[in-house]
Amino acid sequence: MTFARPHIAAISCQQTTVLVSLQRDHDIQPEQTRQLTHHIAHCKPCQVASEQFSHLFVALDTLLERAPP
Amino acid sequence: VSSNYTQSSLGELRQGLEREFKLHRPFLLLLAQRQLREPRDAEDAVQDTLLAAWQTIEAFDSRSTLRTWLVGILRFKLIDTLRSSYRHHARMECVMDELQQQDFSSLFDEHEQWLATSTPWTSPQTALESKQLLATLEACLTRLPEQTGRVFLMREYLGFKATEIASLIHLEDGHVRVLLLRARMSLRLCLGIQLTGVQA
Repeated sequence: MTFARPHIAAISCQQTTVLVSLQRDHDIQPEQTRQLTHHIAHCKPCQVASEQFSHLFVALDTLLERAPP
Repeated sequence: VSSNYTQSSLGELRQGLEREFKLHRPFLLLLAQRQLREPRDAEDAVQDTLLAAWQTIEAFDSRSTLRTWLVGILRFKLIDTLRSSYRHHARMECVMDELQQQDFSSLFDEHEQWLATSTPWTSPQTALESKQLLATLEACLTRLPEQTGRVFLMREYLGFKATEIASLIHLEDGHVRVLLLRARMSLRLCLGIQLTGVQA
């Protein structure tokens, strides 16, 4: 038995940056998380940008002396 | 920036406190000034923090650094102050004028795709590089527009949720999320320029 992969609506790079920010605030829906993951997996510029945001967030947590929000 | 002391060296710690306080005071003041409109209130919050630290130094947990402890004390003082003062002083002017200031659409094409792939950053390899990265980030934070910086630190430093921030400063939830996004985009750009020498 095979299952069809659920369709994941495409999002743009600009929308991806919005979702990265919402994800940082734990303000993101499961479907948006899937869209974000799917887009980043297939978009080199967004992979780079996503890694840069990750560096930024780690540095912020260190600078502000707190666990990730 | 950090200092490690043990409980057993309390006398030694007290001797070094004044010097340590001077070292950490500028960053504490930056955090306070971003939240409290009146410079004197920010000065008072920092002074109260240092006084509380001085008076309760015995409670200092040697597993953390003095800087971590001070930043934590200030965090609670600011949260208390904000929760009481914002209820009485609605700041309607807050951030509304900034919504049009920074537009990152120039980074994207008509299909909302990145115009260019930015240069990847490398992780700091040494303690010195880590320290330099944090110093750069601190400098970038100071360059955020005042109101954006305030909202951003309410989220990232004080830990308010976006909806709480919106409620406290009488904004729409969406406006707060836009400001948080813009702050993060600005910091990423600022760090990118500093780390790679090119606009990210």
